[in-house]
Amino acid sequence: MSAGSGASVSDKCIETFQELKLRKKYKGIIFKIENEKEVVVESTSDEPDFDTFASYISENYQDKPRYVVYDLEFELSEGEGKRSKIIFFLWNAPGSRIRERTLYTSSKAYLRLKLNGISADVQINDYDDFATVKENILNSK
Amino acid sequence: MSTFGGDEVSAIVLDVGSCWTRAGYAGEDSPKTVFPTYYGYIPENRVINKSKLGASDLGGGEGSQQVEKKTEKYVMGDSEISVWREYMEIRNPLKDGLIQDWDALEHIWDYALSKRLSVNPVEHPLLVTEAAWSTREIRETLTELAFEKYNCLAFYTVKNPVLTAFASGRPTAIVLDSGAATTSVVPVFDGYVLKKGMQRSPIAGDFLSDQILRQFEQQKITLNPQYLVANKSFTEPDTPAVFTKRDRSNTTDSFHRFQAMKVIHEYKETVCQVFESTYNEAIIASRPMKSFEFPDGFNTSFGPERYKVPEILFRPPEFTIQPQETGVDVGSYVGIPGMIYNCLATCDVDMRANFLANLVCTGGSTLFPNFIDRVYQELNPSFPGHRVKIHAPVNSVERKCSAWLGGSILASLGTFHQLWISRKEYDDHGKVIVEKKCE
Repeated sequence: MSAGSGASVSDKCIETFQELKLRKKYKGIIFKIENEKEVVVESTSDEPDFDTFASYISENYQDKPRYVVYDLEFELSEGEGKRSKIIFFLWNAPGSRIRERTLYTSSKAYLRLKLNGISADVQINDYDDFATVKENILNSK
Repeated sequence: MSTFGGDEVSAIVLDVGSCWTRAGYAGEDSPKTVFPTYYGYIPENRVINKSKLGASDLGGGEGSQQVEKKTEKYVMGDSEISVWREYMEIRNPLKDGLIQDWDALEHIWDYALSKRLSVNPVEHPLLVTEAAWSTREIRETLTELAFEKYNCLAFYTVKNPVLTAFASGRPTAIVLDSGAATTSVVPVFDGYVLKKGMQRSPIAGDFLSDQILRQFEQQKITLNPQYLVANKSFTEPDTPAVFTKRDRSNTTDSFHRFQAMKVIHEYKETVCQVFESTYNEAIIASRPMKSFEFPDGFNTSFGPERYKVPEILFRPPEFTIQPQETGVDVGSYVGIPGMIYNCLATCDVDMRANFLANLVCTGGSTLFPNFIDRVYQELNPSFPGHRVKIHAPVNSVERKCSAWLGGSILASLGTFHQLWISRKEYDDHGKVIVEKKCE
């Protein structure tokens, strides 16, 4: 184990993630840390457009870091159909307090290790990063 | 599993850096005390009986520590070591960021815990930061010291760059730390230090200060530190200083040097700056000069030289003055951009984008004006198609004490209690437990 906070992860997190991954029930999941102790599911989203989802996160979580999973769907070139990739990111809200920031950063690995099938694990520090991440993922398809 | 279970007592966080030691309570957003890691040492045969005279009545007792059985004397604390004392050596227990002198380290811990924080370590868990290149022997000795001598309730140690990365909100980052003794570039991945990517160079704050001393010599400027100056008179710029010199016989070389370095520190902070793009003598020559007044009243203005010395951080072989006399094989070191480049070259290509977008700067030597812009300017063209983003806290506490701050918050989290090495675990397993628990 690397240096970390020792936080735990609720079973609901894994269940919800499985529903997104296997049954495509949701597009996105937002996780938060409750009482500085346990990672829990805060909300789920059905927003199909990544850019709209990105705006939602950056507007509503200006000062609150979160962990986010999003199922990014994209068209392959020349009508080869659609693909999707599940991305995981730590939203390191630009206006967050240092305590929150350190809490989420040092607890990330615990959640991340429980989620299997993530194709990209990235760090998003501000709104601009969403575009870069999307671009990198589309380029690497 | 036996764990330490008391989250109602706050932990003590101790960060002994090569220039400054920071100590305070976990959960607070700045250290309670910051004092020099440098300490004064008066050898056995030179300790003067207090009643007789001298130096000790200048300073008062707050920081001085008389060791009773031996008669040698350790002097700690910023104001204390700045007071002139006959035969007092100024020393530093660290070399290249690693602990060399354990007796002195104990004095630093004693001073921090009992004099500055007034705490009894028996009642608190203790978190200590360490260099990324710290060795197993050092960590084990630290653990032993914490439990055997200080009887700490619990103990933990974390590497500096990991704490800096945590405090910046980036579990994966490249941490550029340019402090006093060392400049290092360390890749951190999900809270792990990737050892093979680590880059280290002695070209940091102390090296620059030494270079400035040489620059003054070349300019025929005699540096008289404050302790030698009894009183001074106003003089026109560039005219010789008019001052009365104190008689300070039996001053050690190390004390004189420490005092000279204090002046140079001020010079660095007020006069020096990094040129914002590739070094260009012509543009720099047209920039306004900056004046500086020395403690003896001599004042003059500095032009290109105020850019030249910080430039060493970027191009060591080209800008070092008298490189063969520095005791450092300057030619074998690359500048900061080169270190970052070498670090990335050892890492997986897939991780490159993530690392480049999360470069974290910390340490006093990154505070030169334009430093961050310059690093960006040098790196960005080298990585086309990548987005280079540098994170450097504007708040100077965060920049100078980032590792302490990360440790402070980490140790105060309710869930952290299960990670501490408890007294029982230490008793059961001995000092080797540190390698297992503090990875």
